[in-house]
Amino acid sequence: MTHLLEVEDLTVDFVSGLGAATSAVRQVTFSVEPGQRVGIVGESGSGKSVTTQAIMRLVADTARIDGRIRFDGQDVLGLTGSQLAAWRGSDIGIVFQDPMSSLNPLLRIGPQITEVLQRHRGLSKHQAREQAIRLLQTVGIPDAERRLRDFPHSFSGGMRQRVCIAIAVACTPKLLIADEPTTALDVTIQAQVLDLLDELSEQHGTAVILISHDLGVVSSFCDRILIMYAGRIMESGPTEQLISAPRHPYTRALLDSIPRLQGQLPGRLPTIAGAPPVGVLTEDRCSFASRCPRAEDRCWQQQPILPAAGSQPVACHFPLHSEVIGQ
Amino acid sequence: MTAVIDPAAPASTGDEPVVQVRELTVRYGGRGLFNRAGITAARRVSFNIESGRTLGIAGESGSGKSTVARAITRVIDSHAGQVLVAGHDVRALRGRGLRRFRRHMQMVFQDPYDSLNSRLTAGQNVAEGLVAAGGRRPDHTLRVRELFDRVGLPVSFTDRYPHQLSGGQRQRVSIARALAVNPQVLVCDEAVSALDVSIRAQILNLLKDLQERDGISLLFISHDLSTLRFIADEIAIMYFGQIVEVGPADVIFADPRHPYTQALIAAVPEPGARRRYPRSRLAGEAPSHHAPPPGCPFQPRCPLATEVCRQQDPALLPHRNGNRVACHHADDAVAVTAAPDAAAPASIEEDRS
Repeated sequence: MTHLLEVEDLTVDFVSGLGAATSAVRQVTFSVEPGQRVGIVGESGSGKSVTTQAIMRLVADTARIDGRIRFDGQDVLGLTGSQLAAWRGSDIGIVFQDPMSSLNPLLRIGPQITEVLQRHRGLSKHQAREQAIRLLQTVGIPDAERRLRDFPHSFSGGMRQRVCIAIAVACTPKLLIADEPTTALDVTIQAQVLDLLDELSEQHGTAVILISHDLGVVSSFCDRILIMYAGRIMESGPTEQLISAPRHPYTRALLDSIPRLQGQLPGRLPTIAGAPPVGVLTEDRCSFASRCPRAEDRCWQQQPILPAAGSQPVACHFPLHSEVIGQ
Repeated sequence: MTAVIDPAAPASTGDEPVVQVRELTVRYGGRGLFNRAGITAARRVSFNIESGRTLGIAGESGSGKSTVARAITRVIDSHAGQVLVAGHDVRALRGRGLRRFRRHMQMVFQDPYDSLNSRLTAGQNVAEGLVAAGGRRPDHTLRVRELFDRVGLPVSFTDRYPHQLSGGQRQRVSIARALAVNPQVLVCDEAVSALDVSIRAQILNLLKDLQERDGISLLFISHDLSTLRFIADEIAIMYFGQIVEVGPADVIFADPRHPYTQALIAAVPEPGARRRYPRSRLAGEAPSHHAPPPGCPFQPRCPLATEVCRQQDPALLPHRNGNRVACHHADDAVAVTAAPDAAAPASIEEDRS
C-alpha cells in the first residue's frame, strides 16, 4: 500500500546569521495513509508546528531541512516554486490557529474563496462564485450568498474558522493539515468545528493531520497519535491503545496532569517537574531524562531511538507496559 | 512571616463571606458618538465567597466573567449593585481608600508576558507590590525572598528579567507579586490558560497549597471546566452577562440543570473519550449584545425552548439539588453523563521490566 504522505528522518534547524543553529525538529519519521487522521500532540516548542510547516515547505528561508518528504510518491523537498504553488491548495490544504490573521482583512471573503477555485480548478468567475456559495453552505454559514460580500471582521471567531476551512477544502485536497484549529475558540464552538472537520473528512475521504496541545481534542478525532517532545517523536500509536496504555513516561505524565470531568479527583495533580527544553536539543541523552521519574544512568548517556516498526513504537530505554506489547 | 500592614482596616467578622456581590450590573459605552446604546456586560450578578474557599466562574468569551472580576476589584466601575470585600463597600471607595483596599484583593492575569514589567527584574516586579502598599523599603529584599520561596522559585531568580524566565516561572512571579500584600482574596482571570499542560498542573497545585496554608479565597475564572472541577468548591456558569447556574462543584458536574451547563460539559473533549457524534449539542453562537433576544438569552440556541422562554427571562431560583438555576425547564432538562469511556489508564508505578 502506498502511503499518502511519508516523512522520513525529517530534521529542521533554524540558522542565524552568525551560523549558530537552533534545532526545532529531529529525525521525525511517520506516514499518513489516504483518509487517515493523525494527531500530533506536544507542548510549546516541541516541534509539532514546524514539522507540518516543513511538510508544506512553509518554513522560513533561514531553516535547513534535511530528510525526505514524499507526498503521493513525489518528492516535496525537490518541488520548484511553481510546482509548489500548484500543489498547495489543490492536493493539500492547511487551517491555522488564528482565523483572523490567516484571512486577508482587506478583501471580502468571496474573492478569498474563489481565488483558490479559479486558480486550481480552472473555474470561470461565475462558476467559482456558485461553488463558493455551496462551500459556505457546507461549512454551515447561513445566508451564504450575501455573506460572500462581507469582510472577515464581520464574522465571529467560529464563523471565520469555518471560512478558513472552506478555503482549505475548496479543491477537495487529499490531505488537510489543521494546526490548533480550535484553540482560539470557545468549547461549544470548538465542538461545532470538530464536528464539521469530521463530516468533511468522512465525505471526501480526506486525510487529516491535526496538531494540538490538547490530548482530549486529538483523541476524540484521530485514528493515530504522535507525541512530540523537544523536537522528537517520543511515542506513537493507535489512539485507544496510546491513551489507555501509554508506554512513554512523558505520555503517561501528560495524561495524569489533566484534571478529568469524571471520577475521583486527586488532592494534588501529578506534575512533571521542570519545564520543556528550549532551543538547543540534546543528542547524547534522552531529552526527557531531567524530568523523568524513571530516568537511570543509561538515559543520561544514550539517546533512545524510536523503532521503525511496531504498532506503538516508543523512544524510551525503560518504557511502561513493555511486557504487554514489547514481545 | 505575615507583614501586617494596616491594623486599622475593618476586619471581616469571621463567619461573614469575604466577598459578597449583590445584583452587580456593569455597562460599557453608551456615551460615545457611535455607540449611544451601550451594552450590559454583566447583569444582576450575585454570589458569595467564603473565607478560604474557591468560586469558579465558567463561560464563553463575552459571557461577562472577566467583567465581573474587574468590577469587584474596581479596575472598572460598575453601574449598579453592591460589592462587599472584607467589609469594604468596594463601589464606594475613592482615591486613597481604594489604594488601601487593594491589599485585601489582588489579581493574577492570563498572560504573564504582558502583566509583568519587562524592564524590571522579577524581584523588582514583586517589590512593586510592596511599594504600592506602603511599608518600609529596607524590609523589601527579605520579604521578596520569602515570597519567592513561597511560590516555589529559587531565591537567585530575583535578579532575572521576565524574558529570562519560562512561562510557568513568570506566572509564579505574578502570583508572588499578588501575594506581596497578604491579600484575603486572589482573583485569577484565566491564570493557567496560557500555560502548557505540564506547567498548568504545577500552578494549580501551588494555588491549592497557598489556599490551604494561608486560607486565601480564590475567584477563579476559566473557560476550562475540567480545571474548575479540580480547583473550585463552587461553580457559577455565566451566559450573556448573567449567572445561569451556580452550585457546589460536584453537583454542577453530577446533576447540571441548565441546558447550557449541560452543553458546556458535553463539549469538553476528554482524553480517552472515543469519537462522539455529534460533539456539539448546541447550534449557533452567543447572541450579540447589540441585539439581545427576547425572553431568556439562551433561548435561540436552547433545545428545550418553548413559548414561555421567548417571552420571559427566567430568574435564578433554587433547585432541589442545591444549585440555583435560571431556566424555565430546569426540571425537564435531562442530565448528561459526559464521555462514557471510563477505562482509566493504569498508573505510572507499573512495571518496567
